[in-house]
Amino acid sequence: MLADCLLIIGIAFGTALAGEGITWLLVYRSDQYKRLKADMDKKTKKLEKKKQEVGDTNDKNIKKKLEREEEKLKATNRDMSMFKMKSMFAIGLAFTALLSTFNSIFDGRVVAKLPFYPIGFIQGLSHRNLIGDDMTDCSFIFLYILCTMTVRQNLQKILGFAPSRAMARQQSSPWAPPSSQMNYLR
Amino acid sequence: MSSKSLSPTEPTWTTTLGKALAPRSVWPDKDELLDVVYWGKQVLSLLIGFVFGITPMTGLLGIISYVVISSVVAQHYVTKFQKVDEEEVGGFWELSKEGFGAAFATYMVTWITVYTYIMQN
Repeated sequence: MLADCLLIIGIAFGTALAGEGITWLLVYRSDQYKRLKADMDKKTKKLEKKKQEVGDTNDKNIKKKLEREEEKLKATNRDMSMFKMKSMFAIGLAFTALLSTFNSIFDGRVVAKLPFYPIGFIQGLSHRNLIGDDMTDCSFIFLYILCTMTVRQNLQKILGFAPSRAMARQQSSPWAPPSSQMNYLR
Repeated sequence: MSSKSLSPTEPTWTTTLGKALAPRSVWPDKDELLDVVYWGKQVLSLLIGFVFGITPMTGLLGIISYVVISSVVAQHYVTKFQKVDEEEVGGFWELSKEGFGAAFATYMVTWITVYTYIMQN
């Protein structure tokens, strides 16, 4: 079982590296993306600074100005998402196919022992395609998702592809993680 | 911490590491301190996962203990070791959720892997 665990960590590392590499080739290295990202960073920082300077104001003019700035930021964000979308979609498809291949290799195999008893909806993942009632048996998909969560995010941070904090603060509420974090299955 | 081109004023990872290990360092850029908290949590998660796996700690207690330890250590590091006002980096909540998803996954993977090894032998 330990060999399977280590193999899955290796697979997650390999696929995350390949995913980031292909995204770099198709998206990150292009001049248009770099321009859009720099523009986005600049606008986000400017808006944050303005918001801090203004604080809680009731002045309608200032509020309107801030709203206009936010609209501009959203438009740039939309452009950036559109630019990324096509290649992300292609990469997503390729990696979903790869995932199903790995899934069939590890089909029905207990790859690890869980040190906890998973609750209801987690069991669907952690005990997927496994025979037996021992819910502490772990399937490939559960461990792979966990590995991808940690490897992808750390890799993006090391390589500098992660969105800046100011950008993340503007885009998401405290309850919603940045969308890139949700692509665990890639 | 990133490989992107650095401007002359941007700190390298070695200078950041030096500042992180020294008490009461000066952090003009708060994002730099949050980066230190992020990577610190990763190392801490590996460590806790390893210890809990060997012990072995099981069940909900293992998960709750990790969340409590990681939040308290991050908060103490910033306020007691670096003597930075918590509110300057967004408060206790911001510190707790800084890199929480990735750190929690690191902890789970280490915990499960070490526990599997211990159970096998």
